[in-house]
Amino acid sequence: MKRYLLNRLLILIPVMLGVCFITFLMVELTPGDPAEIILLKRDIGVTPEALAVARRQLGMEGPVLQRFINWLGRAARGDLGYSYTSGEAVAKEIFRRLPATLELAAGGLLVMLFLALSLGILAALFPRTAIDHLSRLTALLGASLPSFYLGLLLICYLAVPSPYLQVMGLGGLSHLLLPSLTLGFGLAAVYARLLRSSLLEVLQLDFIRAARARGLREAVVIGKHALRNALIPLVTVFGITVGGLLGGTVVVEQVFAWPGVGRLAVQAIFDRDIPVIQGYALFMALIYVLVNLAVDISYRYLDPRIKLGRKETG
Amino acid sequence: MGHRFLRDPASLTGFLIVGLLLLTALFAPLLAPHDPEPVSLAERLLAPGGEYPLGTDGLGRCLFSRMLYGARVTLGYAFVVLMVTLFVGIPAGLLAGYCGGFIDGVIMRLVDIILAFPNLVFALVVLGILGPGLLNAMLALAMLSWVSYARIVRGIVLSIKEKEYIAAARVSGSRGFVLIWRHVLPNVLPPVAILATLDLGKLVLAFSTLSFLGLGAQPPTPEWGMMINDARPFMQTFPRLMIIPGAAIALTVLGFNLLGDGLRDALDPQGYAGPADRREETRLPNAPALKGGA
Repeated sequence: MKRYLLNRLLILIPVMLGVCFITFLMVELTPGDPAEIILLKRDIGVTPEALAVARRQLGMEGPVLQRFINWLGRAARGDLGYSYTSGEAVAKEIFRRLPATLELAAGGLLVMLFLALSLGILAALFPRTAIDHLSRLTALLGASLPSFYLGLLLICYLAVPSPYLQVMGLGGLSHLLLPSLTLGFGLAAVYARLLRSSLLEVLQLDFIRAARARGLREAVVIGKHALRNALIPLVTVFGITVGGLLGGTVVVEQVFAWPGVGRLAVQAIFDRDIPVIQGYALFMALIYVLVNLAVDISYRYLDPRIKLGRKETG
Repeated sequence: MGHRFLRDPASLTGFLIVGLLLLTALFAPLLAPHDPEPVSLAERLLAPGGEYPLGTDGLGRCLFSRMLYGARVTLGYAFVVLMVTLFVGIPAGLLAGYCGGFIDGVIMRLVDIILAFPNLVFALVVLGILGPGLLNAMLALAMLSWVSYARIVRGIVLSIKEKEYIAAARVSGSRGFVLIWRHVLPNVLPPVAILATLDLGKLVLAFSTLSFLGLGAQPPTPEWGMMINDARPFMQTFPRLMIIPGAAIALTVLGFNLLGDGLRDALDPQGYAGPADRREETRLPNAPALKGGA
């Protein structure tokens, strides 16, 4: 386990460096001189001397590699530059809005787990019945409906007639419910089907028959013995889902006027506010990579049958 | 194989949906009663019927014509992105798998880096550099989606590289390009075809999402995702402006998903194209029916 952990962490280093380099390149590749933009923003006359000073402050001197190292050093200290539009520190702006996005992602995750578990278990318990077909239909629908469309439909046909549900911005469960549903519904589809097939497979194994023979109640057999084993293969897919959750928040935030980082990033693209997009991409990639790391480790922990330190293929 | 494919109602439905969409896209100019783009404020928000089968939108444009041309935009651009994706992804995977070593390392690290971003976030990064727009959105999606082809093709190449018939081809003098073209590529194509079909659905979804956010297609292009965004002010008064394009996107994605799943069952018994939730039927022919219980 220790060796596996070490290997896994070592692979992370070049990947994270690559992520940082791509993010760093955004400034290099976009037209417009950041130093000039900063000067204009602060109402300082754009003279060659002022430009030189600003460039030095921004670490924009020397060859690309050196500029990258400068940038990396500042990013490591939490300095991601300043927003072109608001003039605020990017890290501060992102930290202020990140909790809202994480709240939404957590809500989406809960909805997804609830839907996936109930649909998957029901379908596996009653295979090839109306329940199974209904669960397959829901899964197909979830995979085909664009989330922004689903969100707007929910607003139109659930929130407008209901006095309880809120559709604009933050604030309590009544605000969180519909955005979470929008985010979680599409992601639940894959899981429900995977859980169904995995559960069906596990239910055929000997230890289930043994559990039944011991006279355990069916609820215990399914809930305690079968489900625990059936869930293991699903853990591997979880990493990808987190990507879907994090990316999905961008769309859902837009539909429900949710004041998270996704909205910030989309607005920043329109404003050509590169430092904000950089900060956003860096944070999202960092969260995503760390969650995937946790998933990989817990997968190995949950299923001791997997050889540790095995070289991954594909 | 063909029989099995067409006898499965789900695959057949997918085939019909996609076929119908392709015909719509091809013949949109013949089918559409109006030009989809010019604005006519005098005729805004007309009810369906008569001259306008689905009514008009907030700018007085014929919704029916915009839907038909929308099929053309959506499918057309998804196809173009897919072609670029295949053109980059397959050779990258072949190179990585066949050459191994340094080249493999470079390509796969690049893949890892792109995959370290959540998909939509990576697209936003590219659009942040290039700015919003139709062409840029296509480029962003292409830069993202070649990755999965490179990985799958590489995996297949690795798994067949040591097979005897490859050794036999080598002994009989096939080298490099010829060996790949004649003996490796044919193994790669079926799973890639399945993946590509499923990917078309994903591309349509991603493309309409970017357009909905305002980052993809720009007005007055009739694009379904953008039409939904345009319809938001009329969401409660004229819901059809939003419901019809949304249903079209959902139907398109559904069609490609059904078709892709069907193709997977028919063409890919080895399961290279990833796990199919529908394959459990063949794997567990006699799954015990679990009725009742506590």
